[in-house]
Amino acid sequence: MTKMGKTVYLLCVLFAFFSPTLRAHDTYFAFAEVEYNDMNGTLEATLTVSTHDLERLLQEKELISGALSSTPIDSILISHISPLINTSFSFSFPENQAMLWDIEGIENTLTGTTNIYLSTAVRNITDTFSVRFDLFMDRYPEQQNKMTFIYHENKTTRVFLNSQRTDTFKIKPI
Amino acid sequence: MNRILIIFTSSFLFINAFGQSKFAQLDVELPTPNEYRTAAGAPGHNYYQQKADYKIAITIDDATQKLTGEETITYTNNSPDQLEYLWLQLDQNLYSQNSDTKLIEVEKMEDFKSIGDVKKRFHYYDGGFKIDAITSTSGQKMSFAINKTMLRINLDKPLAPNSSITFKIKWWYNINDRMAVGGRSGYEYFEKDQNYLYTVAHFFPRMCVYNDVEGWQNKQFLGRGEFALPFGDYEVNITVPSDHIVAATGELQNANSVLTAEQRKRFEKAKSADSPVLIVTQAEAEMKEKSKEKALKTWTFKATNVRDFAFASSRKFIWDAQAVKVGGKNVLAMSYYPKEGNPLWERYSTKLVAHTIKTYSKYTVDYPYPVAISVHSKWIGMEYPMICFNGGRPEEDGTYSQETKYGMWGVIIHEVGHNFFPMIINSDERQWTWMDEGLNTFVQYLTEQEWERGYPSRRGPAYMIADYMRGDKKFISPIMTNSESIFQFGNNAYGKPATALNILRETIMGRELFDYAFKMYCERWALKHPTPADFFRTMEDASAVDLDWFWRGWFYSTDHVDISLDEVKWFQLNSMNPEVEKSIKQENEMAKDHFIGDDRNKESIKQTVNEADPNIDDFYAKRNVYFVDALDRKEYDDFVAKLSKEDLQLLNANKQFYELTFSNIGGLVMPLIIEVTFADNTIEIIRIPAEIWRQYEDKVTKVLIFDKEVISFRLDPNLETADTDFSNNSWPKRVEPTRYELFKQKQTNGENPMQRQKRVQEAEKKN
Repeated sequence: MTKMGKTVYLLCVLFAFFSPTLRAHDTYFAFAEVEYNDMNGTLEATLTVSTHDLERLLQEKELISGALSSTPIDSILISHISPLINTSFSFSFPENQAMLWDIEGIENTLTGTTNIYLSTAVRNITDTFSVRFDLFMDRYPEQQNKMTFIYHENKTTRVFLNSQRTDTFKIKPI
Repeated sequence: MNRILIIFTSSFLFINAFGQSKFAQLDVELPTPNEYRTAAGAPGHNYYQQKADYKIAITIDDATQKLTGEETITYTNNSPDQLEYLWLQLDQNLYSQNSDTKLIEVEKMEDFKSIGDVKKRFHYYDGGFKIDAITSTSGQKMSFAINKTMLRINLDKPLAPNSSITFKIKWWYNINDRMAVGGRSGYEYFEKDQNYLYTVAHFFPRMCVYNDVEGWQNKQFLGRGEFALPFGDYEVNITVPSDHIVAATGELQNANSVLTAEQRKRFEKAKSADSPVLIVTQAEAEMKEKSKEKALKTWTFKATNVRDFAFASSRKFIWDAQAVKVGGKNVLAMSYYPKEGNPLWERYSTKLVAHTIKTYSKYTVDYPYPVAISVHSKWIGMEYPMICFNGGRPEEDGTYSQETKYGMWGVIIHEVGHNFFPMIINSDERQWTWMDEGLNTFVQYLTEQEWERGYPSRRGPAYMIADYMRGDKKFISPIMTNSESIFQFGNNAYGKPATALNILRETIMGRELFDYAFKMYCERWALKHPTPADFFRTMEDASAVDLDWFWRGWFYSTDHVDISLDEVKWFQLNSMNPEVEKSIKQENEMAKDHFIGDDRNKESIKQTVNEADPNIDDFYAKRNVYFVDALDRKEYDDFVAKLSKEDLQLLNANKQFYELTFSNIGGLVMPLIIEVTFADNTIEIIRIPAEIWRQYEDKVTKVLIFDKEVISFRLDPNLETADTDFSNNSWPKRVEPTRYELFKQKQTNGENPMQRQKRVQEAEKKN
C-alpha cells in the first residue's frame, strides 16, 4: 500500500459516520424502462425514482428549497437534474459517440415516485452494449437500481448496486 | 421413434411428480411446534414472556442538548430457565466512535467527489451512551460488560424462574442533531426563532427480549433491524424548560403542575370531543417561541404493558386532541406540531390518528392504550408505543402540493398503525422487518382506502410491486431474510409482503376467510411475541386454505409472476351430421388462402386439356366430395339412434372449445384469471386456482368450453396477481405501450395548484 493509499483508507474510515443506514429507510430505488425505437433511431426511457430521495438530494445541493412537488418543472429544474442523470445513467455502444439524454418531461406522482422521461439519438444499436446506472449511489450507499431494456418486445432486466454499477446487455438481433 | 418418445415422456413425468418444489409443504422450513407455540399457530399452554418495569427520571439541558438519566429496572423472569446474566440494548451506541455501523458501510472514493461530501463526513458528533453507574438497589456496584450496542450485567447468582431482580443505571448522552446526523430520533433546530424540537427515543438502556425462540435476542443493532423489547410498566419523569410542552408514551400524571388552568380546561373538553380541540394554539406557541424560559418543570407519565417509551418536547408545540371510541372506551388522539407544520397538521393530523386507531382496531384488535399521538418531525416517520414522529411539512409560504399532503397522510397512518405492529403484536423487528413493516403497510392500505375513495396508496395493490419483482434475481432477497441483509429494504420488507397479503385477501382466500384468519392472528398474539411460523400457521389453520405454496413462493423465494398465454386453439364438436359437416368442410376449403399462380392461371390458361376433352375426367375428377349421399344419411341416422336425448342435445349445442396453453415464465405460481370476450361483446371472468400448476410447474393447458365464439382472452385483467409482463397476457396479442409512450400522449404542468391559485388571486388584486 502506498502512503497515499493509506491516507485515503484512513479518511474513508473516519468519514464513514453519517450514513443513511443510521435509520431504516424504505426507499433508495430507481427503475428504468428503456426501449430502442428503431423507427427514428432513439433510445426512449422512463426513470422512476423515489421523490423523497431526489428531493433530499436537490435540497442538500441547495438546488431547490421546498418540496420537489412544489417546484416548477421548468428549464431551471431540468438543468439541475440533467447532469445528475447524464453522469449516472449512460449507455456505451462500441464505436458510438458519447450520448446525452434530453429530459422531455418530469412528473411527480401522488404515490411518492417521480417519473423522468428521457430520449437520446442512437444511430445504430449493437448486439452488445454496457450500461452504467449508479443514479444516487454516491449519496445513498443502499441505492439499488433496476433497468428493463425493451427491443422489439424482448425484455431484459438487470440490477445495479453500489458494488456493481455497470452491466452488459446482450440483445437478440432482429 | 415412438419408443424414444415414450421414454422421454416418462422421464418428464417422473421429474414433475417428484420435483414439486413449489407445492411442497413448509414443514421442513418451520420450527417444530411445542408447548410454547402450537402447530395451529397459537401460543402454547406453557407460553411465557418476560416483564421489564421501569422507573425513569431524565433531564434535557436545552442549552447543550444533553440528556441525563437514571432508571430503576425491575426484571421478572417468567421463563422456566435460570438466567446467569441479563442483556440490555444500548441503541445510542450506534453513534459512538467505535460503532460497527460506520465500519461495515461499503464505500468508494466516488462518495467523496466534492469538498461538500468530505465536509459532511467531518461533522463531529460525540454520540453514544456514557454509562456512569450500574448498582443494586442497596447501592452496590454491579459487574457489567459492554459489547458495542449490547450491555451484559453479570449476576452474582442466577435469576431463578418466577423471580425478579431490581437494579439502577445512571447515564447520559448528547442528543443527535437529526438534520445533520440523521436518525430515528434527535432534535431539529429552528434557526429563525432559535428553538429546538426534541423527538427522543432509545434514550435509556432497555432490556432485551429473552424467549423460547432465541434465548436472549442480543443481535447487535446495526441500524436497520429495529427493536425487540419485552412488555412492562413505565413511570417516567421528564424535566425540561418550563415553557416546553411534552408529549409521551402513556398518560400524563401531573397536569395540575405542568398545564395552565385554561390548558387543563381544554384538555378535559378534548377527552370527549369528536373533533380536534386546541389545547395550545398557534398564537400561544408563537408567543412562547420568544420567551425561552430558563426554569425547569417535570412532566410525569405512566404507561402500562408497553414495549418501549418515547417522548417529544418543545416550546414550539401547538397541541390538539379529540376522543375516538374503540371497544366501548375513549382513546385520546393527539397531535403536537410546530407552526411550520401548519396548515396541514392542524387540519388533518389528529383526525388521521383517530381514523387509524379505529380502522386498525376493526381489522386487528381493539387498541388497548389510552392515548395515540402524532408528533411533527421533518422528513422522517418513526414509531413507538402510543407516540410516533411524522414528516409532511408545507412550504414556507403556507402552500403545499397534493404530493406533500398525501405523503403526510400516508406517513401518519403508517406510523400510528405501527402501534399494532409491532407495539401490540410484538414481533422481533431485529430479525424480521416484514412482520411489522409488511403487515402494517397492508393494514395501512386498507385504512387509506377507508379515508378517501381512490386514495393513491404507495403500496398494497399488486401491480405496484411488479417493477421490483421482475427479472434479474442476483440482488433480490426473499422476504424471509434477516433485516440487515435485505436488498431493497422498502420494496422487500414493506411493499412485497403488503402486496402478498392483499393478493391473499382479494384473490387467493377471499375477504371473509382472510379477514377472519388475520384478525385471529392479531388476537392470538396481541401483547405477545409472535414469529413468522405463528403467522403462517394461523392463516392456514383459521381458514382451511393450504397456503404453503403461497408462503413458499412469496416469502421464501425470489420468483416473480410472469404467466404467459402462449397459444389458443379453437375446436368445435363434430356433429356427425353430413349435411352440416360437409358444408363446413366446403366453406373451409373455399376460405383457404389461394396460391397466386393458381389465380393467375385461371386468367391466363383459357382452357385446359380436361376441360376440352370430356374423356379425360374419371370418377375421382367428377366426384363432388361435399355431396351428401344416401349412405351418409343412413350412417348418421344410425349414429343418432344410439344416442340418448341428453347426448343429442349436447351434440347439437354448438359448443365452442378453446385449448389455452400457459407458461410460468417468472416461476411464481399464481391463479389463472382469464377475461373472455365473446363475439357478441359480452365478457366473462374465469378464475382457476393456482393448484393447476401443482404437477406441471412450467407449462399447463386448460380447455374452456363456451356456447359462444370467443374473440379474445386476457390474463389478469384486474391487475391482481402482480404479473410483471402484460405483453404476453393476451390473445390475440396486444402491444403494451411503454411509460414513455404514455407520457408522450399527454402534457404536464409542474406548478403546485395552490401556488397557481395564489397567482390567480394576485393577478385579480392587481386588476
